Amino acid sequence: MSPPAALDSAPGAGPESVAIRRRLPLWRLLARDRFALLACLWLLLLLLCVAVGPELLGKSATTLDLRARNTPPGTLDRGWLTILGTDALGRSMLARLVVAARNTLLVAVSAVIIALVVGGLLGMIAGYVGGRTGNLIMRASDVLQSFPSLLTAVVVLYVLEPRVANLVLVLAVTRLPVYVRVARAEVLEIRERLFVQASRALGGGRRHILRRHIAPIVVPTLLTILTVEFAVVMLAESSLSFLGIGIQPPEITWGLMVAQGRNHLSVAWWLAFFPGLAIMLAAMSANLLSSWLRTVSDPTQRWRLEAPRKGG
Amino acid sequence: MMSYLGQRMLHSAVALCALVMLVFFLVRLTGDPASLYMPIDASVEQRADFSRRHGFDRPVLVQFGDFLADVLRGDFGVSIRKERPALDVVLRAFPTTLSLAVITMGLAVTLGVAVGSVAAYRPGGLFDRLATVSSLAAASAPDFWVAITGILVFAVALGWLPTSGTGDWSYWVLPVAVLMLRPFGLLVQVVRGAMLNALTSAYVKTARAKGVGEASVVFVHALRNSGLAVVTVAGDQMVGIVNGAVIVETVFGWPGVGKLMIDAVMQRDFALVQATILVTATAIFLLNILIDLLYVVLDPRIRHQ
Repeated sequence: MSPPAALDSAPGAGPESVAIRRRLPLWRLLARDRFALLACLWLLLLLLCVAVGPELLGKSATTLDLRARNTPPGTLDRGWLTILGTDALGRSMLARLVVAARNTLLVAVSAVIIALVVGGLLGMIAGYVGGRTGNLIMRASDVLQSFPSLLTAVVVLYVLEPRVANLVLVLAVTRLPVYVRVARAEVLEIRERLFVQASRALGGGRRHILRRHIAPIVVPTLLTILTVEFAVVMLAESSLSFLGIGIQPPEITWGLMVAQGRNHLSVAWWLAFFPGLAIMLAAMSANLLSSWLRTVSDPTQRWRLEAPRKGG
Repeated sequence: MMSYLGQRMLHSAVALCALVMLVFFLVRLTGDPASLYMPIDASVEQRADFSRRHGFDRPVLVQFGDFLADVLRGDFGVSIRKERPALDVVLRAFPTTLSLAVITMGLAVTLGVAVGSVAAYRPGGLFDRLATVSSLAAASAPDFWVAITGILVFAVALGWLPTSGTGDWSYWVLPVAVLMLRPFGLLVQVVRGAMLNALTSAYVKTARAKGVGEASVVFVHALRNSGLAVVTVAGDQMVGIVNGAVIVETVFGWPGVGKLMIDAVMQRDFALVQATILVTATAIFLLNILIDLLYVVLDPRIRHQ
């Protein structure tokens, strides 16, 4: 582990011409890319909403105020909470958005993580063990992939109750094949490398090789898919909630808020507009961050971020 | 080549069978149609009679055997709701979805390739930055939200386009525009990435050094190499639309396969669900084979294997 690090951190040791350019720390690189930085800050803000939002604003999100029904956004005379307007029952949109962030984001994050862990494991097994087990896993993943994911969701949520846990399960299962495929493809290549063969020759067991030699290379690849998948899953959850088969009221998510706002579209456009905007901004931030991560982790593209800015 | 295609078809056929079986048992888990179609105060005898008429009273495995035998004869059963042969209902809805998919993907690929290549030509330039951000926004926008916002602005506020339904070209504008967003955004990113790699590669430098014209370098040398990535992403998105553009079809009241399938599941119209799945799955398997053939056309390395 230590030799490459030592090489990296001692550029002054060699003659000036071959000195390795010092790598900027990650946060400095992030600060140089304005869009990625904004995306990161927005996601952090959302995390804050998830962590303390319902405790802080839960009460204002459920307090009815029939005199303040459908207040348009930008009205401040009833306090700053009505800055994004109020809904048909006079509840503050801002407070409802903050509270709904928890359900929306937690569902997406847990589904993505479950899919990553289970799919990654299955893919690694399929790639390393191969044979009949591997074939079985791949065929199952093929069937799962050719199955219309919305249909899976509808059927499962009809059979089981549409509770948060079941929704997470459905979303995780429909996204499994992505990780299975990527993990398997990576393992197929890694298992032929010399260090794996060496470990096998030294008597390393399957478990040992998978855990110590293969997983450390596969996991970072899977992690770069994670951010894109987060956006995909969040959009899928919103669509389900929009169709009325996702999370049920009184629980709220952004997708459900758009669906509810749709009925008041001609009188109060903001009811459907702001939750949709929140979904889009969150998904876009995740996508921006993931494309930034891809650039940073790609040695042939990283210079684009490290190169000094024109005029800056 | 032919043996490869044959193998592909065999794999597809196996997956198709597994899918049909899975759907058969899964839809039966969603509940008893009798309780949905009979009035609430129907007697036990009336319910039993309903089940007997539609054959739902027999053991599931017997039903399954009959279903398989019927399917092999080309009979997909009768839709309870529409009281017409299920296959007819599906085949009437399918062309609508297919034409929606073809038009959408045609536009998305043309625009995506054009914008992506121009963006990659000067990386970091104004057009590139605009294209990158707007393609990200397009790929991240929730389609149902864009759809209802579009209706609000163009149909309700401005009155330029109809809100929903089918008819002349003006009915196509909003659904196609909404459906196009995600494929377009993804394609711009993919083409841009592939073109960036291609334009900095050695063979493009060689071509320039030889004095090949700039247009030819960009559109023949570099663009051809991003063809594979375009086919992969476009194919994937096309499969998604053929599978049913449920959201867009629901919001715009479009009589396509996606809406048909969701309605059929909700109404426990088992025969219709099975027929829909079988038709779309067959279409998707054919589409996948077509995509594989396109790979072969585009990449000589695959052709010579």
